[in-house]
Amino acid sequence: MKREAWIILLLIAGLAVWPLIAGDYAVSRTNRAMIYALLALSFSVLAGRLGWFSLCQTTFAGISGYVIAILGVRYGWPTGAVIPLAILISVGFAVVFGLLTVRARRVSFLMLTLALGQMIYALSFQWVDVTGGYNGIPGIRLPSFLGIDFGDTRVLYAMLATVTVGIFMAVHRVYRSQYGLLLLGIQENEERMRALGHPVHLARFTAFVMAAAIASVAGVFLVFDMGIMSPAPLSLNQAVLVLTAAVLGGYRTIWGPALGAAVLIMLQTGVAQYTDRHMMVIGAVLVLCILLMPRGLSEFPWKSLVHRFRRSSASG
Amino acid sequence: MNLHTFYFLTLNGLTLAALLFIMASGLTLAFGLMRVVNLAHGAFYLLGGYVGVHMLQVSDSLVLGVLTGGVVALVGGVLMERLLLQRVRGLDLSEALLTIAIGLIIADALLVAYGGRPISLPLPPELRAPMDLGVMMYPTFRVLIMVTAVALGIVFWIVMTRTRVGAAIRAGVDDRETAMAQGINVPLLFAGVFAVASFLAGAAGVIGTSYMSLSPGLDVRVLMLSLVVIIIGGMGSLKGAAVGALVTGMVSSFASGYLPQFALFFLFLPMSLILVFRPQGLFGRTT
Repeated sequence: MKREAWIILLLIAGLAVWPLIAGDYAVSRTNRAMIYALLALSFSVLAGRLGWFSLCQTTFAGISGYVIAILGVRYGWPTGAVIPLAILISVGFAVVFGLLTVRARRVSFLMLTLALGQMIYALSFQWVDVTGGYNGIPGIRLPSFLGIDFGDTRVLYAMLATVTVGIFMAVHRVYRSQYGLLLLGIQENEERMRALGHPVHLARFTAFVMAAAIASVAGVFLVFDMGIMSPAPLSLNQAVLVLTAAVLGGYRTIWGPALGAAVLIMLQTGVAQYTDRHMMVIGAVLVLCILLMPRGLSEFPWKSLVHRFRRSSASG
Repeated sequence: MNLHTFYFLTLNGLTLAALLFIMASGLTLAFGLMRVVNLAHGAFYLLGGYVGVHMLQVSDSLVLGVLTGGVVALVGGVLMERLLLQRVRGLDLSEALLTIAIGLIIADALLVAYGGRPISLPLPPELRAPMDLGVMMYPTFRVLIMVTAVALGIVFWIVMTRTRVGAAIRAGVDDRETAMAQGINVPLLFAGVFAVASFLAGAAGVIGTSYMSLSPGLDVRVLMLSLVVIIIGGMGSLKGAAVGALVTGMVSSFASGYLPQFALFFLFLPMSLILVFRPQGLFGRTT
């Protein structure tokens, strides 16, 4: 417990110092990494607790992004009203999707979320009158208020860091609550949980909506960070990117998704200097993760590896 | 409603349904046998399509083009099954994720190799010419696609009901453990079905190019349509794949005729209805 508190304090201190020492580009990449950490967390809540691999978490982020773009830019509604509305509408979609998927399991769930997510993606580029099609809706920016420019990279960083740390700590509490244990129990043995009188479907449904709410908050930050809303964030590529971040970091732990998102965004930034083929790199990372370390970086048996290395170097 | 438009949309829907049946039939059988869903199916469609159309342009032979497309996808499918899926056998989610990753890599490689410009099918004039169907004129090649799908359906039906292999596949789909205990080599059977499914995806990629031109992103659209087909029809059922393909083909044809901005979104309706009232699909069985 004490060690854990120290790690959290150290992490918060690191996040506070980072914008003071890093350049603009590094801070904006960190913003992107935090957004993807939230999306990967949204994925991991379902994957780690319920064994539900979702390919539509980025869709919820995309929906809240489009609501902000359409109402905020096209109709000129005030930002303060549009943001809560965006999260609300996105969660509304999650309620519908959740009702449709709550009975599905494992691979069926994966297929269903892929199909549902791609339907919304198709809508986002076919409904040109409203969404602007492939060109999207540009000019999305947070306004200045009380002399603070909320669109500034470092101001966005401060808000994003606060929200990200807050959400991760909240989810950590949920994981350790009775409800979190019930979700794990459902993953282990659904029949037994039902026999014990637990509301299995309700628990899964609430987890789905909760995960979507996290993704929709990430979507709010994403659309202001990008400044333009286009169908790209709703594509399957993005869903797989988030999935890869969670698998790479380890979706069973609380900090795995953040670690995975950080590593993947760093990798993407590095690779982008040499080639446009970053989707190929993401695909390769996913293949290697599944074959070599299915539990991700955060649960990789580092100790036994070091142990083996020591033993072989001592004998050799 | 204009009667001519109605016939035209119906025939378009039937053409799409025929293509979808060719794509989804193998996919649904493979899923029924080993609970493996090949999410690289759309990428195999695109791979077979690009390579096959290229071959068609070089050799000027439609048959050779379709066969090349099918064989390239078959090789890809068998390599993926032997080299990667074998390593995580039994872990259904890991298998599905591996196929997604491979699909992503193939699609990105195709973008490098063939660029982003849409490619359509260069057909010989006698196949492009319209044919009199009694109610209206319709392109001969599209009629040929429908005939192919029906023939494929009949072949599948004969193999499944009249041969030992078909009986073994049915047994494997029904109850894998018991079938294996009876001495049926289900993994080998699965490898065979998987290879046939990949071949059909690649061949469909060439024929389908006469209906939807090849372009980046088509892989995911094709995959999504195939998944909707087997979700509606029920996983593991050939009859389901046929009915699911009809529903999906008709809905997207009529939606793109009257409300093009919602063309693919409209599939949400039949799929939701099925999920609410019959979650295992029309012909699926609860497991």
